[in-house]
Amino acid sequence: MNDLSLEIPKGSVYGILGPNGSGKTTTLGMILGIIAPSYGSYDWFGRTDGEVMRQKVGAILENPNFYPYLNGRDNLKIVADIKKVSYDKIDPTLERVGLLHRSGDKFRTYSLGMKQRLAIGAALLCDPEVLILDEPTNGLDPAGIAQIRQLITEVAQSGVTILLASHLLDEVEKVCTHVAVLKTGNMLYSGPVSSAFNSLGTIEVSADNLTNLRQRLEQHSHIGSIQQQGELLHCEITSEINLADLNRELVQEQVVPSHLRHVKPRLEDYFLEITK
Amino acid sequence: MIFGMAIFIGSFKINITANGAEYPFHFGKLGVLDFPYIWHNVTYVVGFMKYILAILIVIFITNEFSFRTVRQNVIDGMSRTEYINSKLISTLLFGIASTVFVFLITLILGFVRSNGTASDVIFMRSSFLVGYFIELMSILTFAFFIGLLIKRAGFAIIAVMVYAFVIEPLIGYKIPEPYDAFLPISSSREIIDIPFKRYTQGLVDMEFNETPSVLYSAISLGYIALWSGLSHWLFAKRDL
Repeated sequence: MNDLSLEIPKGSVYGILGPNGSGKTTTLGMILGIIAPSYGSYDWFGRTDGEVMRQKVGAILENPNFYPYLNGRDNLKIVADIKKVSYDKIDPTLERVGLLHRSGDKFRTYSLGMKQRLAIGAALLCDPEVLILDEPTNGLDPAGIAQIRQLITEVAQSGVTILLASHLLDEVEKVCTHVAVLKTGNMLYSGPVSSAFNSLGTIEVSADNLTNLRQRLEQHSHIGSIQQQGELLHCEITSEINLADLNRELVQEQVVPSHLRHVKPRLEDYFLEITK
Repeated sequence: MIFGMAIFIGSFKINITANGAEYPFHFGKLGVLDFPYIWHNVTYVVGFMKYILAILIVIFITNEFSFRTVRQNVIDGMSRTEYINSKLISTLLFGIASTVFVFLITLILGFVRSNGTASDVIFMRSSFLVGYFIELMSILTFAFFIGLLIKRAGFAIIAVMVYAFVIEPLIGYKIPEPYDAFLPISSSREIIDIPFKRYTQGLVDMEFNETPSVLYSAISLGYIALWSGLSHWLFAKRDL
């Protein structure tokens, strides 16, 4: 990592985005005491005794790791012992992630989705204040992914701070309040999702007479560059535009739009753009 | 298995021909399995089993790496020292269990063969059990450290075996006696001297130690501390 510095606000859902090899897992590994940083420091809740503080944090890193010859409940008992949490919490947690009916089966018999859910259960076992999820939907089918998204939203609503490392950009967009974008060890952006990119987006316009349309639009003060794709003109907007107003203006100048649409910016486009 | 072996040896009878005359040589009559000598004899023989137990310990440690549960446990909030301590304590319990097992087997064997002996005789030489325990823990902690170092079961087992049977003997040739027995594996082996020397004392003139060696026990204890400490040190700063 190249001089990475982050501050995670309490109660936020902080997404960490980056292509493979950008350092997401390394960063999470460092704050979880698995990987030693060459220099620098971090603190949990303002304290530096990481080992004790980690007992109040739930984390999944890369893959769910459990003892294959033990069943789900026994594996959670081990986690409960380490985190100094009462065994009473185990069954409700299994219920919450939908594994209560399989809690007596050995871990090696679980499907990938179940393994992932057990990992999330283990992370939630101590009612953590901070939840760290590294690719939590890894290997899940669409139903599983939806379930996890639901769970994350629920947990976020209860005030837990969530650190989410993910490839799934639209998930991050839907769920996260802040985002940090990494690439090969460097941080390209960090801050609120809403101001991550030009939130104005583009306007798609079309008319019977494209040349006229283009001329009119080029003169518009709030419109920047224009690109033509087939029958559509994609116009970058430089400040707020009211579509109804634009429509009226164009009609008054004898250019009647047959198609007019505001395209909101997508995190994915921004992401692909800056990680090029 | 050991039980069977012991019964077999106890009833073994061969005829030795020496100097033209015949000497019937009945092992059982030698009193191999009699109290109090039985402690010495049995703990010597089962000493060879320690390599199998060492392999089990290697697997015990390397499993944590192949399941990656070592990583998860530290993430969940176990400190590095807590983790190693918990594993070492398990190894210790394993060693104790094995020693208790040897104790019971020896008692049973002794009662089967002996004819009503006084209880103070039964336990007289049982200090050999302590010697066995130390010998066992010495190699178990060594195997523990190697497992921790190499992390892969196959390679670690090979490493332990190659060291014990090839490398250390080779080093031993280079070192003058008696210091060659100060090496890790050899020192634990010397705690319990070959018991059968007792029976050849009339025939061959060899030094013989009737009690477990205090010197080699102390050296082995030192090695136990060494391997344990090295394990802590190795694990403290590692990336998982």
